[in-house]
Amino acid sequence: MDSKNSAQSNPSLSQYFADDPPSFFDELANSSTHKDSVDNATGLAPVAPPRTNQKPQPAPSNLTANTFSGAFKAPEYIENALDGEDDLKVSEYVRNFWEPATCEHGGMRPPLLTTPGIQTPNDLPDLIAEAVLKHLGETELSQRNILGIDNVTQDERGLRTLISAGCYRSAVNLTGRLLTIYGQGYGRAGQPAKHSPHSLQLWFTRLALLAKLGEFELLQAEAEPFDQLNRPDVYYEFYPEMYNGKTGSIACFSFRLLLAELPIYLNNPHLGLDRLSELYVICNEIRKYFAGREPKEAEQFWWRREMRVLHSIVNCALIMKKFNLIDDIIRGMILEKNDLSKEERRALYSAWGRIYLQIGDIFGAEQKFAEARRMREINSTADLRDLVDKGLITVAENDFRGAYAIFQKALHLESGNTMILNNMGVCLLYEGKLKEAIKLFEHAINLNPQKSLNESLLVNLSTLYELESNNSKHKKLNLLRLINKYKPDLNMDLKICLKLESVN
Amino acid sequence: MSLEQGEHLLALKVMRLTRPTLIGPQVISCENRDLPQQTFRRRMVEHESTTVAGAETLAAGQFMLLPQSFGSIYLGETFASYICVHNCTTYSVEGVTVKADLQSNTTRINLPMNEKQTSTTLSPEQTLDDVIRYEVKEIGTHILVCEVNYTTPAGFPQSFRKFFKFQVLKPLDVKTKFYNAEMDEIYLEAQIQNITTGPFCLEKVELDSSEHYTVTPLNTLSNGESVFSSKNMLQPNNSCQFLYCIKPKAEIAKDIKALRQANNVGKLDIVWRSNLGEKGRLQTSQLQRLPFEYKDVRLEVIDAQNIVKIGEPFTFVCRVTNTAERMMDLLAKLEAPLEFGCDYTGAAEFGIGKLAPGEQREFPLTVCPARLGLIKISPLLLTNVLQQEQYIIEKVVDVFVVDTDYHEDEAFQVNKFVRYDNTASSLTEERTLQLQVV
Repeated sequence: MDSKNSAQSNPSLSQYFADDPPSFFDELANSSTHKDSVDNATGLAPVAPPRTNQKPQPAPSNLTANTFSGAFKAPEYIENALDGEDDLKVSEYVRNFWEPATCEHGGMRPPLLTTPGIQTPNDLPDLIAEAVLKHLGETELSQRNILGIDNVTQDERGLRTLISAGCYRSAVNLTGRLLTIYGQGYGRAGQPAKHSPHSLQLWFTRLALLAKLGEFELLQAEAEPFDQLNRPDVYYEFYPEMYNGKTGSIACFSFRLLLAELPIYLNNPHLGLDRLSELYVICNEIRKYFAGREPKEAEQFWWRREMRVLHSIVNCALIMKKFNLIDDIIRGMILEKNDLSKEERRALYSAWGRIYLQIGDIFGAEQKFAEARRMREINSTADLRDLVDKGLITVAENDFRGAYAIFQKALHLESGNTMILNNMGVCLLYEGKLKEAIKLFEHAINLNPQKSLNESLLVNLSTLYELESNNSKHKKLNLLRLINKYKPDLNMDLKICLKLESVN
Repeated sequence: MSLEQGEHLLALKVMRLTRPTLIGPQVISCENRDLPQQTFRRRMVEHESTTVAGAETLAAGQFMLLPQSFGSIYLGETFASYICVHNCTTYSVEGVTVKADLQSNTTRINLPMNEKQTSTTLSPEQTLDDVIRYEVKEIGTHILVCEVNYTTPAGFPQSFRKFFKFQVLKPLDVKTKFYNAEMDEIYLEAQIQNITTGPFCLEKVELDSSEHYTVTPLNTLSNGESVFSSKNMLQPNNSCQFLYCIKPKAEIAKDIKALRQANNVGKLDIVWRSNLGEKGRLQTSQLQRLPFEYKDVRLEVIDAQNIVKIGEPFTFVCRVTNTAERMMDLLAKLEAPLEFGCDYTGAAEFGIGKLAPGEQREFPLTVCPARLGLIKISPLLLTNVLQQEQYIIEKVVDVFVVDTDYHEDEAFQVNKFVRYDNTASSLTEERTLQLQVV
């Protein structure tokens, strides 16, 4: 308080600060200010009620686990016959078409083989359960009732059941069991292995799930033996007797794509971009090879794969902020490829517009969104896509009130849509309506806990809890109770999602 | 009585509001024949709200995520911050006011919160909160000073303050280059460099002319599109160059004295936007054009073609004005060195005649271009035979020479016809400019 007068008479800042670099809300009051964060720094204690306890604690939130009677419900998983999908008619010859890498050393040395193995002796733990146990105790944990590895059949079908219920960690653990049966379990890396379409599919599924879960360290270790699927033993040619003269790749194309994307997850997007480009070139060559050849659907099939790789290149370029590259690729996809359906074109234009918004090009974004609208049915009214695009433009123009109204219109078209509710909540905050924003996020969770308890919405809500008061820990633990009940897995560390460790 | 911060009845929270970011899903996908079949896709579409329907495998999101760090702030941008005072007790607290000041190295500005400035009573768990906004006008250290005042239940006034420090950085580097052309035209090249850490988009770069000049921007093609292929987007450290043609208004163009004095041509007004439309705006100081070169005589080229064909004689009309206070009898001499690789032929020497002070005369000159590209017709020597004074006009006219198969109506292909060489440095001057908030 004593610095007030001197600050006005002498604007020099040096009296307060050394030349330290700025940090997120570098708080500069004297050291005693840090005491106000001590309240919640004790971490383990479940919510020390603030100050006095003469009166009952006012209900801090309309979001308590008690108001939720439901719990996790595994969606009914039905194996459908998958017919009607065009790409299922494509023959294995076309699907697996891939030239094995030529052996560089002319047979002087035995070729390098693919010898994978699981890299962890234990199953992946249930991180949500661990956090619940740590912060809320065993009684609360007993509320956790999600689909586990032993509740499903120990096969592909069981694996799909777990995936469609969102139980990714259990699914990874099931792949581990199944791969152990193939002799590729823990400790088998470096040992000779025989590859079949099925074993490689199991590996693909496992590694894809690890990527999804953000378990990049394990992913890197287990993907390493596969390299780029360029060793001879992952091609049918390597087993002439067993596969009766079949040719091509035993590993599926999605596996190749995943391995090409891998360096992006490991903070080396440049390498990822190189590998994806290489993959694109090969797809392009194969498509050209099939042009004018039988079977007729082969060209189209490989063109689809080309498109898929381009999507991955765009995603990688987004991380690298290579916006010129993105511009070129999307323009190429839309303008040069006439095989895209109207809906696909529209989705691409809209994505293009959103990317322009990211770099602040509002005019460019508006143009792309207008193109997207032109792809809509003539005379039909604005749909969710149009309204979201318009809402985002309005946000970019700094009109959060207007954007809120537009998102609200979109909500009428699809009530309970988590993304729309989330965006409305964000708009409310920028208008100075913190409490209303919190209510809206909580409302979204109330409406659809399974869907709304997603990583990004949790980050938003936790941010607001922290802004609102010093009692955020209490409210965040309430969120954890709900996650415990409803969510089999999160793709993000709970520490980041709920900021549980933060000192407020 | 003074309380330690942690003992206060109210808590103060502050969060900088940069624009939200759009986030997309972590994409994993497979084909229908693969083991997971459609489970990956269905899961993303039906359960992940960051997925965009119809573009499931693209990470270009539509889900807004609140800022998770302070980020950087640049001169000309608006500092926005959420300020929240929370009653963390179980009883009402009266007389609550919040005051937010932003202190820079030279000024201290009060940022108004909640239109009603009167004090309020906060019941338990209630908050007093609002967004403050301020366009930062200075580079360097800034401190947000928040002061909370309230009355304890015992009736004692209490207050506490919190300080939040941040640095305002310079976003752009602007360099200008002037070039005096014939017919009183001035050309301005403005080079704008992005010195922030992320890409941004230049939404507007305009030269607002001063009262004596008119400005024609030369940054669009004839179809109205920008000459820049990448939508004015600038990656960090990259630069973009804009060109303007500046002409004195008719009333001063006639008046040589007024023309000599009118050195301010205008200001550059720059608007850029970065993440999700975060806007910044800056202006340069008044730009000073180079002084016109003439002293006693003034040469204007009043009729010349811009583009001529190689080998075809090219005639242009000059006007010479006696701007001195004495009588002149002028002899004109255009030199054209007769050597291999010279730009043009057509040396000439002739008398212009007597010119009283202020009098002017027009005369044609004809040259034959011998090289493709931009050629400079120079120098023209003017000799006043009455006093044996000689004036050297270093730059008479520039003309663009094209091949004989060039057709005016065909689309002008820059790569085919334009050759670059170094501009005469004597006539240009490069400057780095100071920027200020409008």
